[in-house]
Amino acid sequence: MKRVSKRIRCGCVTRSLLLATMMLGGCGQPEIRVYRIPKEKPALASSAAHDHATQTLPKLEWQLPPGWEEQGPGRMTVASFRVPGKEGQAAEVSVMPMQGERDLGLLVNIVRRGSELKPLSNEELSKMTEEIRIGETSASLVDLTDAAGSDAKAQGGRILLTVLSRSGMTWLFKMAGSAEVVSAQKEVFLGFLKSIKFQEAPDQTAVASSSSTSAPPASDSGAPGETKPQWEVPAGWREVPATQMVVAKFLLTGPGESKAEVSVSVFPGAVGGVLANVNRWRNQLSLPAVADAELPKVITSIDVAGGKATLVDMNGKDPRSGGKARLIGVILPQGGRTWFYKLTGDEAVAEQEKAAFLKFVQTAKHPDAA
Amino acid sequence: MQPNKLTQVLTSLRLTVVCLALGLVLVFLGTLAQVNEGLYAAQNRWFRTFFIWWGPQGAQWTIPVFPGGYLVGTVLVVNLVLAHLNRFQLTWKKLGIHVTHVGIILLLLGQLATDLLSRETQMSFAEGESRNYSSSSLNSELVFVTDSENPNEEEVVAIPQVLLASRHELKHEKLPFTIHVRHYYPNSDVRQRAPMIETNPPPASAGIGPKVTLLPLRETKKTDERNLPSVVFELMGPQGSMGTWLGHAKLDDQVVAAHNRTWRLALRFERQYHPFSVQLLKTTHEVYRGTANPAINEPGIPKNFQSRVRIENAQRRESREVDIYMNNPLRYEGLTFYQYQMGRDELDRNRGTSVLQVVRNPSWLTPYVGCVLVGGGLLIQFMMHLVGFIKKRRIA
Repeated sequence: MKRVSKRIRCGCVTRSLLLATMMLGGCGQPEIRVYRIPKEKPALASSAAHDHATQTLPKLEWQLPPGWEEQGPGRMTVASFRVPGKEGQAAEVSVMPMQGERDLGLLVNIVRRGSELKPLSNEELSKMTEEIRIGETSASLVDLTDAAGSDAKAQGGRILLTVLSRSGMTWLFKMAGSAEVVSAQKEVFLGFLKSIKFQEAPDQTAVASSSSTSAPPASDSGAPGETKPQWEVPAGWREVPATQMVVAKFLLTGPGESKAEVSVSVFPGAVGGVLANVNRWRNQLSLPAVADAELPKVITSIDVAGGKATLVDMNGKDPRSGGKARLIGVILPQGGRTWFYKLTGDEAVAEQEKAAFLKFVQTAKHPDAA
Repeated sequence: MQPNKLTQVLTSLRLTVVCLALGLVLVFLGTLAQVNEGLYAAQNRWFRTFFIWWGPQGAQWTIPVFPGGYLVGTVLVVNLVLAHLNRFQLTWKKLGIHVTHVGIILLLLGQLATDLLSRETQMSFAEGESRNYSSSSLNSELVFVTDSENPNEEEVVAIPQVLLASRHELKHEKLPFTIHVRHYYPNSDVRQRAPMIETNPPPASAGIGPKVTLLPLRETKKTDERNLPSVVFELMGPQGSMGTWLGHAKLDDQVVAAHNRTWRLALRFERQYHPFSVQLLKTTHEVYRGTANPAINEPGIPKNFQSRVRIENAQRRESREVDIYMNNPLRYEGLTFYQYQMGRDELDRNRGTSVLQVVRNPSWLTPYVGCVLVGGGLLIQFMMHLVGFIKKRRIA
């Protein structure tokens, strides 16, 4: 009897295991998924995460050559142009900034690889490189398709790459397109490069464009080594090393991946006045400039330790990511200098931290306060 | 076959020996096959299957020619369980045998559970960058991302590459258009279209399509290379065609407008989102002194790969820094983060990059428990025999 019951039990277990095996074999059919994610943060805030790498981007100004069509900034470029030629032929000119100083050979070979051209040796590169001027600075111009064994030229194409190292940044100016158009426009391209002027922005500016918006003078900023005001840093703010022109900088985090940053900078004098600085900030959010008459509508006055300050609170768009962004700024003239407090980043964080930011500004004691 | 006959076969020790022998042959052949088929394809064809299928080249049919890993493993587990139950004797003298058997069964089942349930993804970033997701290294998905009613969230409709490769028409109630797959390439490359070199038509008419060149490539079987699939598809809305589009992992997101909404579309590696983010703060790459020689491009023998990361978890109000290095993974929220690869940013050689392997394995403890049980069972059995032997000697 005992033996029989054991056999029955074994039979049941056998069938159960086989059934389980068959069920396992039927799992894992792929299907379309629908899910939700936190909104991806605008690049303005993401750049704040690179606190060690973030650097001020100066504004560029240039003289647009006749016939060139401005295409606007792209994801990696701050400006691009279409250069039309005969019979539908064309070339493109792009301007791309990069953090840090980059090796010319490395950049040239990356661009060559993108066009299926063989990499160049240092010797070949040095033969193909010529010194030119971009504004007041010398730069290296390389005709990428001029190398021995290159088949691109035979197929009717040409690329000119100009690399400029300046203030810890590398700028790439590239003209690529039909060989006929590039050859005909080479001198125009060199003239365009010569016309370029770099205009420094006083704080963390993510904007670089051809607009002629004037930026405050920055050369005499006392930021490096500047004595910080006495303040009480709100809870949750993380201080990171300040970059050029900035007295102090804090990173703020909010719900999900949202981020923002607070920067404090100081400059001598009125620095162009309230209107120029409000419009500079509006430009950073892709907002149109306001006229003097409209200024009172966008600013308010707040009390701070030792006087009054101008408060501006704007919602706009991060020009690099196209995502929504908010900027809350305070302009505070004191002791012959002007202090700039700026909170920029995701709208959610800005909203959450606005009260703390204002309290931070209002309670700060400046070294040059009366 | 009668039930008692079937039970007799399934409980026989001969079946155990046959399964072990088949397992040996399978491991040998499967390992050799990795040379031509690649690691992951060979694992799927030889081990993650009930049968090895074969058919003449070019033929539309295949036949099973050898038992696969799942079949051998399943029969072995069934054999082990039934044989144990059949010969089961509830006595303290057999305690060690019982514990050892349970340990072996746990090892086998644990391996099956790992195979079915575990998921490996990778988190790659450069110093300063932050990620709240990890990506599959093998599988891609075509995603359509749009704003949701919650202003802080986006809705993603993700179509796995298997469907892109196997179906011509794809629909989903959340999408206001139908996707007609025109071409699917398992491996490919894209590069900026040089207007001076290319005269052939561009791969797609909308989005980035007219500005790039698509280069179909042979599938790679190498473990240190990745297949980058691409898909050319046409979107069909109620008003007709919305153009042909190209998806490739190297391309930026593209924007398509339909029904007064905008959608970002991209073909990217499958993402697994996490309720926390990881920021790479610093990478450390040390080699043994004297082994590196930049003059001959010799990188040296690795001594230590280390990533210092910051975990930010808003739900837990947590923000802390952790070091992840070889043999010291981070276990967090049911995931294990292993240091996997390390490098330098291609454009900024001063900036370190790191790849963490992110493993979700709900049964990660079973091998440890199984080994302890097997070891403990054998020890108990050995000690029982030893004690009995000593007692007998004393009596003698």
